[in-house]
Amino acid sequence: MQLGNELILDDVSFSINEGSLVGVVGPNGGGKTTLFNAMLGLVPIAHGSIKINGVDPKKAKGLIGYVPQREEFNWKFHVTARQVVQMGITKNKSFFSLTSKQDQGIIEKSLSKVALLERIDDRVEDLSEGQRQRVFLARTLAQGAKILLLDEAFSGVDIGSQETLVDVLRNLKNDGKTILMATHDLNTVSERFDEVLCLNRHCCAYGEPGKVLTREVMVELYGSHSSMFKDHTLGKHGHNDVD
Amino acid sequence: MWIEYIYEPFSYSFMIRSLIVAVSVGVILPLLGSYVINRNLGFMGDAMAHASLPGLAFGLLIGVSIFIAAIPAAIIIALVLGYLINRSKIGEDTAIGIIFSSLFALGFIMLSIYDHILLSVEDLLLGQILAVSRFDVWATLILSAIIIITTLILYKQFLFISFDPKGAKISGLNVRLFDNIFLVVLSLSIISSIQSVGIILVLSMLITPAAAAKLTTKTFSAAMVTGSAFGVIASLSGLYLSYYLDFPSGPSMALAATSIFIIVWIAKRTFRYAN
Repeated sequence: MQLGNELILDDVSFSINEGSLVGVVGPNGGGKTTLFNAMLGLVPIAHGSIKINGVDPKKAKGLIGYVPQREEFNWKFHVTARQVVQMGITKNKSFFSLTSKQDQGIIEKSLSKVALLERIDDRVEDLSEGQRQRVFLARTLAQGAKILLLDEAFSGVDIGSQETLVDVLRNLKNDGKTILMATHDLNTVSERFDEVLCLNRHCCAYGEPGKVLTREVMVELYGSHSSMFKDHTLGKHGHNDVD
Repeated sequence: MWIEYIYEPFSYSFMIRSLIVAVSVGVILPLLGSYVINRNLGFMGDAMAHASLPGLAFGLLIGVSIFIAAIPAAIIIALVLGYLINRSKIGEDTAIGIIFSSLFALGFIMLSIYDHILLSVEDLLLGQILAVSRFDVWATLILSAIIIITTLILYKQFLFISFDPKGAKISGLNVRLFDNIFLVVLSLSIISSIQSVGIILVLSMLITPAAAAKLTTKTFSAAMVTGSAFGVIASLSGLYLSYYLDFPSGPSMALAATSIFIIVWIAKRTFRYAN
């Protein structure tokens, strides 16, 4: 992928099996969001190809659901959880504000899948950050997406809410959804994800977290700061000389 | 009896016409204003009003209603401004500023060249609701119906592209098309209101009732309805002030709208402290 003359993401080859829960890790500017944008057909790729269920991303619209970062929304609009989920089933020809009984059913089912049905008429801005992420996840479910992309969904979410979100994601994975989540939390990648995709302007590694998160890969991802993540345990703060 | 002061003006047919136009303007401007304040399109709305002056002047020159001449011009301006928002490399405010000021200047030059035009420039700038003709009433009603129906029909799309444009694009919505439709509808609402509020103060009726409504409501849809209610109160107040005190209608409506905003703001603060 190229921005002007600058190559911002290169040499990225991977294939994800249906029903996988994949963590996408890497430094800021490493290309996580760019990769998602390419998978969504929003940015052209300079060379190579992306296939979503065997088809071009632009033809796969509807198959992929996206949960963007918080700052991508216009929060001046006071919308309810119901309205946000309804956006998932809003098409070019969805006329009038009234919702059919069938669509009401889809909205309620999607919100109950993320355990937020009781908050259906609450304003999204009144929900916690973790609950908001689940509302936008419900929107992708209403849309009927089979592949879900979550961009830094743990950002600003407390540990308890992160665990609730992970539980919801595991349930969705068991329903056959393929999920990719960009995250900076390397310490929990092994427990939370089946596979991890490591990006730093190129694909550094892809596979099971326990196997691919080696010291070499960490250095490739984060350079001199890599030991902060891998060895950060009680009494050991990333320095090789401390035991 | 004081109640006669309310009924008495409507014994005249010109006041009935003014009433219809006032209510229409009071409904449609805040309806779209709810989007305008949340999407930071206030400058765009102001630019649309000012840039319509050459169209209005041309209509006066060829002797047709200002609606007939200004509507096509306003639609073109809306689409050009919409294009600039997406493509401008010099910054959208800069691009809008250049177009708006140059077209406003062109309109004044046209009015000064064709000095046989029988028109009060003050009425054009500040509005004169008491002078609306039967044709103006019908034109306003038809435009208002188009604006309200379009806003209702495309409510879901307008909300989606305003709240989450990227998400809307990803889900397959034609964001550019709906954005352009919104801008055209906004320009129509401005044109239909110029005669009553005037070019300079259209912005006031577009923004102030919607802002007051946002203070009192919890959801966007409720703000749209409440904003229109505030808009009707403001425009009717302006109508009475114009009739009884001979004030220009635009400033009267603008001050009434501002009064509503201040009352709502104080009431909200008082209520918050009381609790």
